[in-house]
Amino acid sequence: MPEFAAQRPFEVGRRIELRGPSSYAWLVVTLADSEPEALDNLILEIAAATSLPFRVLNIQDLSFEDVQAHLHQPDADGVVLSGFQDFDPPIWSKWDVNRSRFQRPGPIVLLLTTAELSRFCSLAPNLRSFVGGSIFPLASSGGQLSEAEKSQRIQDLEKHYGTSSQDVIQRAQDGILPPEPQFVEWLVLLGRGDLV
Amino acid sequence: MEHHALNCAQRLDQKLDAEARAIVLPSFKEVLASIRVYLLKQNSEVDQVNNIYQLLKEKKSGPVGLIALGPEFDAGPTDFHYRLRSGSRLSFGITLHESNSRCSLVAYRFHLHIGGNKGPTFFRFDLNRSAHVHPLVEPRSHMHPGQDNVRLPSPALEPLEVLDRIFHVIATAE
Repeated sequence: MPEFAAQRPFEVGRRIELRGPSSYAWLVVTLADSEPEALDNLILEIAAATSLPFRVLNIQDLSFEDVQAHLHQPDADGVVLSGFQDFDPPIWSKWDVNRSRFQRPGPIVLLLTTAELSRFCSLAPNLRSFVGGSIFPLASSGGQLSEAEKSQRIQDLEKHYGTSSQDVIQRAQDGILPPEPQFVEWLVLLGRGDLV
Repeated sequence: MEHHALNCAQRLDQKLDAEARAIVLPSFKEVLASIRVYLLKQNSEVDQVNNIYQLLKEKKSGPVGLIALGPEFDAGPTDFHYRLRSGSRLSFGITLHESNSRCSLVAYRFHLHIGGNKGPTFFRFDLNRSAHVHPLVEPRSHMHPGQDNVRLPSPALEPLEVLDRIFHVIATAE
């Protein structure tokens, strides 16, 4: 299986957008198991990038006919299909043979693990041809402030205002926190959002 | 200060406060994604010089979340600013309160340092957490036209609306 460069969710969205509306597009995204928030980020970012509504359809407990019905009602939005962990060779074959029954104007994104992708490629060659080169290992959206970044910001705030974090907490508890935006940020950085 | 001016400022500040409270945004993650995508689209106009995924930061504490880009205070160029084509640089911090997958605005600050030699050296759009005791001097929602101690009243805007003014009004006039 060829190596594909990791892509951010926005780039996946851009690929969908470039194909235009009613693209009948099929894509595969592979996700690292260690990132539980990655699916949420994927949905939100590709929806924002494409201006299309997206929904997740977990197919784990759905019959072939159920999946077909869900894909066509409605059929113009974007759908991310997840839950392929129990797919055995007969199910992949059924999907492959009946692939045309899934076709819809809105894009379909198959969310697979690396192992599932490997089975998909070998057991559903016709469906694989729908996907073509649109296989994207998903890179993390990242963005969480690290401990070092948080500490640096707190230091900057203490230096700028010439006061301590403890004093800011005390002022918030006393209801006399200055109204400037940075003081709210300071409380969030200190993990005291409860005082905002 | 003139009594009339103080009274007018007080009334205006109540309006600004009501405007800010009336703004309802989607979930924290949705707001974050919309800002990220907005900046990514802008970034494609400047040859991807900004690594948005590195620059845009988030931090949650209970129901309150912070979305930040760049330093807390603009004290000169850094690698953490968003760079515009004109040479200007942008930093911001937005705090939101999330409840039932909806957010209200707590506060924000958007600081655009102007790169050229024309006009003000910076614009800053601030929404304070609450009203100031002197609303004539510091309205809850205000804009600094290049001076830290000058605050002109500004409508309470959604974060993307502020970015619209920065990218489509100020930056295009530079």
